Amino acid sequence: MHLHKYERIWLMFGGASLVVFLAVIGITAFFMGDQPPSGAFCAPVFANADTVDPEKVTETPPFNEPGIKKVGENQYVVTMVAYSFGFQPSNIEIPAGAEVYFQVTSKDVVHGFEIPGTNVNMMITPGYVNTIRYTFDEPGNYLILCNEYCGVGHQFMSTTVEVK
Amino acid sequence: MAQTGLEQKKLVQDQQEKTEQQMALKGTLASVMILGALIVISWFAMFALFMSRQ
Repeated sequence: MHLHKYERIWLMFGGASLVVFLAVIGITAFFMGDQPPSGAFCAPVFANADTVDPEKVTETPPFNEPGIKKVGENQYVVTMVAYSFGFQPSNIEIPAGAEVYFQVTSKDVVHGFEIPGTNVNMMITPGYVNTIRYTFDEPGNYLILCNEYCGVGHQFMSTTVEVK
Repeated sequence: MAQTGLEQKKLVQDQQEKTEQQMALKGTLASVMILGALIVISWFAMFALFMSRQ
């Protein structure tokens, strides 16, 4: 098959771009630990299963005691329950520079968990525990909000993280 | 002789076709490269945004 010189050029350009894109994603995923939120993501910190009976959330550890727990040098675990229409615990305080692991589940419907301006953004599905890690380097007030329409009070479903 | 003449004619035709093709694909190459550059730039822009929000 005869290939025009220009065709060879753009095929090579396309192929090389694909290789670069996949290499960058591969390096960040396997060597830098960038992974999408999931129950298994924070495995070094949590030993929990990534599922929970949605009807028994309030009786199942660790969700029977939602709150902040210090687990290491400047390392915290925030155990959170999302419900219609709020987050428990609300208005969290965290020292600046802390590495925070959020483990969140829902006791009713699907909720969202987003901190605008950061990469923290995950779906909270009843029956599943979703986890994400974030380091709060900058002091200030961070908003946590639900970004999945969950009912008539959805627009009120938010809380804050105070980093100081 | 006749054959050589024919061959020569064919060669000239091939040459012409080649140059025509080369000319005709210049715009395509330019548009493909512009589109490719746009894709590469936006990919890296999004990646930089993701890394800055880490």
